[in-house]
Formats: sequence, structure tokens, C-alpha cells
Amino acid sequence: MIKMDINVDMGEGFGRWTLGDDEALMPYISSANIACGFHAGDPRIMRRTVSAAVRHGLDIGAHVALPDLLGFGRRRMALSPEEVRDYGTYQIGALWAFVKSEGGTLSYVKPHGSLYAMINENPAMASALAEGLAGIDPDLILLLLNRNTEAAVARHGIRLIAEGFVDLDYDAKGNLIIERVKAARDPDDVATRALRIATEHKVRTIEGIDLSVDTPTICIHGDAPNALDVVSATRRRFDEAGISLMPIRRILASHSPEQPVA
Amino acid sequence: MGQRVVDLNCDMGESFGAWKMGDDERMFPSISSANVACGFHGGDPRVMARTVELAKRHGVAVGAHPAFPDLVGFGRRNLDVTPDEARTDVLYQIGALWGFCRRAGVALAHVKPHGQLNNLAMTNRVLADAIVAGVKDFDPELLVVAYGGEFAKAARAAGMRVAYEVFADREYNADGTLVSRRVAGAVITDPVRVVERAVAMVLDGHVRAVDGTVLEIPVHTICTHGDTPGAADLAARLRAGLEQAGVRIATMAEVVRQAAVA
Repeated sequence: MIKMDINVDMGEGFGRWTLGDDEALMPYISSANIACGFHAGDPRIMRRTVSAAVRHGLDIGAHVALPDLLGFGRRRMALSPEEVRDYGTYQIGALWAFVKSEGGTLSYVKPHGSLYAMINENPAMASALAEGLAGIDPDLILLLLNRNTEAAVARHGIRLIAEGFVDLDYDAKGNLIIERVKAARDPDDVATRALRIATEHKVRTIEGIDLSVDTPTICIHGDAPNALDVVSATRRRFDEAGISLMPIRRILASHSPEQPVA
Repeated sequence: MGQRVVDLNCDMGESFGAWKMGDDERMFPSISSANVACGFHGGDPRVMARTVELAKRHGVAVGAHPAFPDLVGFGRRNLDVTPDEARTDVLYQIGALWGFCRRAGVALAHVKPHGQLNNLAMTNRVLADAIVAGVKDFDPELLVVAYGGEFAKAARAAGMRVAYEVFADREYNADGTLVSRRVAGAVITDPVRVVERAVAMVLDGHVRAVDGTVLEIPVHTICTHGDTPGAADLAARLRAGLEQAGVRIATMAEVVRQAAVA
């Protein structure tokens, strides 16, 4: 049986401002990437989001970001590897406190926005963040776009998992075409892409060629105007195809260490 | 028969970065003065620029809406600042907004403190004096928006002009303070009653407290709210109701000027 995880960014409100409808999406997904206050989220929102994620049985990941609230972590920032490491430690620790107090488990770390790109393309930065993870818990998984920096991450004993994207376009090099404002996608198209990644490990690029995307987890964005339709349609498609929705950590645990994932 | 001209003011530009608040575009046609957030509780440079441009396009007077530096608390919490901090914080925020006014070629007309800064200035004369000093540092000709109390006294004592603000949707105590929101019925939610009260306030030239006491508060500007459901519709009804009663809507500078002549 094919097992797949759906991860969604959550807890991205701030103070009096709301973003996305987390609780509406939670019944359809298996993992929540929770903002840690640097690009979004605040202590009250973090507790509320962690509590809801635990209630829904979701795996929890720290959605660590650049310290840029105003820019929502989407602007590149010149940082040293030590800064990246310590910003990682800080945010993971902060979220970990809420996860612990709500009785859940922190399973993975996924960088947000521009930090995601910086970590994915630069082994020195990936190594620094992995060091931050290892300093807290060597069992934490690092989610990234591809295995570009796998060796650097593995030096710290951290496992890297490449995730798949179903509501963003890839180019032939495997890079994502980032949208400035999240656009609505046809839920049926997104569900079809998700199913193809799960069953054929392939995604069609904007050039019209097939790219290999072999992953146990796909990311769907919760800030699209029709996010609930997109997420529920994808989940329905998985259910119909007999694909079992399962959090990342459990998927990995169900494979023996010698076997490759998915 | 009292004055037949009044200003309608509304807090504007309270979005921040990726987060949106209020429906400013729909509020602008109904109001004559905008209290523009200056980045401390809401607003950011991009939002401020856009808000000032919108005000200009609608012929709405622009005022600064300085707040405590508390983004996550939206400026609604007590912050134990020194008088000098309050004074420089106010000066800083007025100057920041002024930059956008200057660029857009519109005058900066008034200053209305936001949230808890405004509430505390009602009863705390030291804080009230500090805020007024900050406004006066920038320009002694600026209008100070106050709903009475120590803040209005401080402004008058400093020789500044005061635009007296009233709340058509709030009940008043006999001492001129607002009945706490925690008291049932303190906030009037029925739009028909809000409009009736506003018209009565302007035509009578005073405010009637919940126990019937006549409060000799000049009625220069009526506070409208942009962040509640149906806010834009209520503001439009308020404006229409006032105009049907023969009341002209004008900027607070004009209202205060006319009141001084009368």
C-alpha cells in the first residue's frame, strides 16, 4: 500500500491578524509546519496551533524562517552560517516548548520562504541548520526541495527528506516557480498532480517534460484563496486510490533503514 | 439648534506586511478624516504610502494614529513608558507618516493616539502632557483629537486646538468616560440607533449619558470603525443619515474652525 503525507504551513497569523483557516484544513492533512514567530506566528497562536495539531493527530514540524515579520520571511537576508544555526535553534526550541506542554512530538523542521531556498542551494547553510537540529534532537528530519545538500546535512546525523509540491510549478531544473501572491489552483488539477507524484513519482514541468519527484510527503499551501477545496480534493483523490495518509515520521518508521523511502 | 457640520473619522491603514485588516477602500467614500496607523501597532511603509494615496484620491484629511510600540498586542495593552519615551515615540510616528504625506502632496492635519495610548491619556495627565508635547514638537498647528479628560485639558493647556471626538456607538457615563465594553449594552450594535444617536449628538451639540445627564462635550468628529463586520455599510448609512438630517460632512479642521467662529 502506498503511504503519503500531506504537509501544510500553519499558525501564520500574527497578533490581531489572521491568515488561512488552519482548523478547517487539519482534518484532511497529516503534518503541520508551524510558524515560530520569525516570519509569522506569536506565542498565543503557536500554542493554539500546536494544541489543534495534537488534537487532530498531526505530525508537527518547526517552520523556521528569517527574522523578517514585515517581509513574511520572503526576502533574502545576508546571514552567516552561525546565525542560521542559532536562529534555527531558537525557533525550534520555542516551538518545542509548546509541543511539549501540549503533549505532542516535534518530528521535523522545514525552513520557510527565502530561508528554504538559501538552505536548499547552499551546503554550508544546510550544514549550519542541520547542526541546529542535531543540537536539539538528532531524530528531527529536515524537509527540503531536493537532496542537493544531503551530504552536508548527514554530517550532523540529520536525515533529509525531499518533499513534493503540487500547487506550485517546477521548471526543468527542478526549481519551483515562486508566486508573489498565492494564486488559486484548480483543485482537480492539484489532486491529479498529487496522485501522479504518489503513484508514478513524476511531475510535469512548465516546459512540459517529466521530472522525477520521489517523496513520501507533498506540500500544499494553506494561504490560497481556495485552500480548503484544494486540500480536500487531494485528500479525496488519495482515499479513492487507496493511498494511506500518514505522517512523515510514521512512513519513515514503516520502512527499514536499508530500504529507500517510497 | 447646534452646529450642522461634523467630521467622520476612521482608523485606516492597519494592515501589516502579509496581513490585511479592514476594508479601507470601501470605508474611504464615507469618511472625511483618516487616522493612519504609523507602524507601531499596525501599518508598515508600503501600507502607509498606499493609505495616504487613497486618502488623497478621496479628498479625505490625513492624521497620524500613533500607538504604543506593540505590534503583537495591536497597541491595546498597557505599556509602562516614560514620559520622554511617549513624547519621542509620538514624534517619531508623526514624522514617519509626514514623509508619505509630503511625497503625496497632502497636509498632515491631526493626531489621534491609538488604543491604550489614547485610553490612558484620558486619565493620566503626565502621559497626556507627554503625547501633546510630542505633537507640538512636530507642529503646534496640528489638531489634537481627544474625547475629553486629561488629554483634552493637556492639549488646551499647551495652546493646541482640540477636535472633540464622540462615539455614536458607545454609551457614556455621567463623568464623560465611556461605559466599559464589559458592561452589557455599552456598545450599541443596532445601526438604526447608532445613526439616530449621531444625528442627535450633532444637532443637540452635546452628548447624553446613559443616566440622562447632558455632557457638554463639543461634537466635532464622530468615530467610525473599519474593522468590524459590516463596517463599511454602517459608515455609509451613518453618512447618509447625517446628510438627510441636514448635517454637512467636513474635515475636522473645518469643523473646529467653524466652531471657533460660532
